Amino acid sequence: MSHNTYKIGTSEPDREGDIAVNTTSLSDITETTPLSGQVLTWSGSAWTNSSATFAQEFMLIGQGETNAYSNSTSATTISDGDTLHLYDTSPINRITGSTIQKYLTTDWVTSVTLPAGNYIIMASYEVEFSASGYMSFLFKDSSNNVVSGRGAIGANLPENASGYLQSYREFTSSTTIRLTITNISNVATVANQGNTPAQRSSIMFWKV
Amino acid sequence: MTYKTTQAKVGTFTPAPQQVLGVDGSGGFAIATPTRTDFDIAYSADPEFASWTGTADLFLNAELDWRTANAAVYNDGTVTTSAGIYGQWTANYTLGVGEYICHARWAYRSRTTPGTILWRLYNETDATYHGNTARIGPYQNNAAQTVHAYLNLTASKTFSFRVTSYTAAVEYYTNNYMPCIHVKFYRVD
Repeated sequence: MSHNTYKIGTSEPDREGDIAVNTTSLSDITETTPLSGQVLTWSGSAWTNSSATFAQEFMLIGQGETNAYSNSTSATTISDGDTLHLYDTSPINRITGSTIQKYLTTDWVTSVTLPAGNYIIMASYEVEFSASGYMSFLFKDSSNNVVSGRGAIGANLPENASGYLQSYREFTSSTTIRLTITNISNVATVANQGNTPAQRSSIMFWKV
Repeated sequence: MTYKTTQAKVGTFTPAPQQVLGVDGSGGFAIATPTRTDFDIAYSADPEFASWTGTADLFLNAELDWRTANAAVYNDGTVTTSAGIYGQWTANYTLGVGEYICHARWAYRSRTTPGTILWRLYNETDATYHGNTARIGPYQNNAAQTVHAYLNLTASKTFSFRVTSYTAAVEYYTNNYMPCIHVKFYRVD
């Protein structure tokens, strides 16, 4: 009696007819020599082995570059209700469906549009003061609704607040938000901000 | 004879691009979108400071250290640390190949007159700075700012948090004072 001649790929039956099938024998797997820790990922037409990639969706704007704040606005003063801008020539944007808006042709970011979802929102911002003062800031949407907690900086804060803004927010639809000043005293003029906002400020959104 | 499938299809599910084939809790295969869970935070700490004092001279061009005695560590093995000049304080962080978001905060108590420290994430291997410059001060508990930085490392690199300027002597101190310090490197690849 001879062995069964059926094969699956290159896998042949043993004398009892059982076939130990390797992944390389499966028709929809295109596999090169696997490395430890790799997974099979669906490419759209086949399973291929590769290192796992993770769907971390985040956006980071403000990475310490140098640029004068006067390039970010035509205004000469910084006032309550103004939008704070962030400078970044290469923002890191891994949030699918989001967009970043900039001032004219500059790399000063004025607002971001986030798709529906849940987000951790973070911001750290610094300005120059003309005298002992303070500045509070938070995120607002295009209808001027507050969408985050508040951060505040300055040597003469009238309120207890963290210098760092960190919030959680659920957006049920695509939402455009901007970092907005809510309380201000003795913040220096736009011309006297120099590079400080560009070098020391950053915002980050983490989709969770 | 044992028949086996000729395609790695799982149940009635149709995979989407970038989904992976893994092993589910019952030992069978399952299609899933990969997410980091227990190892998404590469390194984190919630330090408990002992009283420790430094002067401006010590800080300039030195690293902001942190104490790891009570650190909460979630490390997938891509981050190692080495002690700074004060022994129990960590000064350097060596990161393996990968993409990271660095998220770090510091606070301090002014020792004499209100002062300010500017500090930044520093790549000791390549002598480059990354992310925004953060500020501590000028008073005890305001404007404790945060560093955000994105790192895309194709080779292992060593980082520190380096003071770039200061205006007064400072004192790390948390006895009945709000500890406000953490260092995190999130893997994002």
